[in-house]
Amino acid sequence: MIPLQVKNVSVEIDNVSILTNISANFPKSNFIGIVGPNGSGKTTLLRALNGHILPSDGAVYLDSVPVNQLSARQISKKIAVVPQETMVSFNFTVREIVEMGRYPHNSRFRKPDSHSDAVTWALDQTDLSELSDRTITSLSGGEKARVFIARTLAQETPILLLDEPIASLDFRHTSRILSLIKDQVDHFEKTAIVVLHDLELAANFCDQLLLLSNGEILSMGPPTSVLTREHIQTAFQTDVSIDTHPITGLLTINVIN
Amino acid sequence: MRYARRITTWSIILAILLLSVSIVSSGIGPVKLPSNLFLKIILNTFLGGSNLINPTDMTILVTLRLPRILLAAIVGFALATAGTVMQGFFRNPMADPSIIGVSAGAATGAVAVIAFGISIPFGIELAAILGALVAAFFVFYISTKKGHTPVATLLLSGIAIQTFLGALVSLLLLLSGENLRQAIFWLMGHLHTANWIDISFTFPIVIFAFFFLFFFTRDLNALYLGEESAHSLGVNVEQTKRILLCLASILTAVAVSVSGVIGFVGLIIPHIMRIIVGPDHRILLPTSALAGAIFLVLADTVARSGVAEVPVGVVTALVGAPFFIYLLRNGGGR
Repeated sequence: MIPLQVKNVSVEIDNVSILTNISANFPKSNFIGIVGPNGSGKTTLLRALNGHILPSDGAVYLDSVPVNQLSARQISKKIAVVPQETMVSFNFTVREIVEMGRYPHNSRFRKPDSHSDAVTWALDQTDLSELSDRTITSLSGGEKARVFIARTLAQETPILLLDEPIASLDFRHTSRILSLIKDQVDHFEKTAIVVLHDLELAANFCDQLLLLSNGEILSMGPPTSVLTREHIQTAFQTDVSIDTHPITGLLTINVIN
Repeated sequence: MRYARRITTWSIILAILLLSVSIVSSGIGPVKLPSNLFLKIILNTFLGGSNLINPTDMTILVTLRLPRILLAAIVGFALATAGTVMQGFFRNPMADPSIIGVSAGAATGAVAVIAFGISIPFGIELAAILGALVAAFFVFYISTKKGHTPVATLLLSGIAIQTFLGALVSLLLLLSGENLRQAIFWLMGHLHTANWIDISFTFPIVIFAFFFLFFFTRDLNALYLGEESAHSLGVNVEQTKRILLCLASILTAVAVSVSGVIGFVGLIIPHIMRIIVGPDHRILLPTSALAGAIFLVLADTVARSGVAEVPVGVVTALVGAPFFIYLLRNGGGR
């Protein structure tokens, strides 16, 4: 069974069409990158996937059930999300925020045990164990980003949605976080759907890419078939050359002036 | 269950503090009551013999002091609870219980009744509650579009309605003639009119609303991180927002209807408690509520201990503001 399916989804916000007739399958054990220029509808697609916004047409199916028939609680047991920006104006500690990932699984008044395996494991995976008692407002941008990823790991869902999780991360943490997501996908049969801006990173980490252009899917499939010179020309109106790096064998994309 | 124990410990400490403050407060006022009055009452009850107590003291205690202290505690409890909820809801430490026009609505209703000299039993209280709820509902209604109520729109609508009603209150004051003094006193926040009937209807409503809100403390925590995050953690965002606003408005309306506009309790108490116990609402809500009760009992004791009665709202602001500034400069803490 395919855990997450999108069938003929269109989304309008304030009478402006953002997504038009999107259909896609997001299978298990897949790391799927959503790429495309600014304003192409990447974030909107991600929000439609967990029912945060409802499509004006078509439907999203979670384990074959339309998402709009599920409660937020039911969805939250299967899909965890890192939004693009998370405002933090109050001084929660790192551990308290990661513990919130356990909310969907516990009854209202049981505080998840601070040493609960899932929380400790999530902190450990994201290199945050030593920062766990620090307050979130005292952390750097990159550290904060890791806290919210840790929260989704503590949520222990089969599906992860991440909106530009590496936007504020340095080299080391970028590859660490992407490897971590890849690890989750490969070892725990998870589905990770990640909005990425860096096409090279997307090509080299993802199993599949979904290229959006003007609210429509321009192409979906393995990175090499999606990231062609023609597709990039159409979506980004930029001429590029696409090569394989002679030593690493990784895909490289260079803008041609 | 470390967290359950923390709630219990803090609640017991604060409850004992509230009781002690209340007992001490009951002896203070224009007529000093003997400090061992409570001890005498207890002895009297268990050992019989009524000659221990001066009947005048007993009358002052039961008909004047006790209702006033209890009402101060209930109002402080309600305002601090509503303030905590509003600050969490708006993700803004500047939010207070009156932010969506509740107090302004209550003031308009009450001042209208006073200005026009309408005298029906509990007319002021009823007009205040009605005004408060109408204002809150109206703000919520004009901020809602297609089932969504953006927090920023709600905040701005609240400010607009507050300004509008503020002007209306000024106009009513101009027209109120000889009732002006009573209207001003009402507006400044007062507890000298406290009676057992006020207590009998505020107490059950406040307690019910508090426990209902306590059920939503985890959702408030999730909402702290934004609506998108809250949704992804399983919170039914729009429904939760409606419930929180509705209950916080009812709490504020009930408090304002019996005591007028007492500022600062709902703003400062959640702040102080957040510095002390942290931002987790499951502990912040009950501790703020009790601290609000203690604060208002103290403030009202000050209000009635001088040569002339001072409106308690004046005391909370005069004492509260400097203390708050001190905290902002020195506390910060967590």
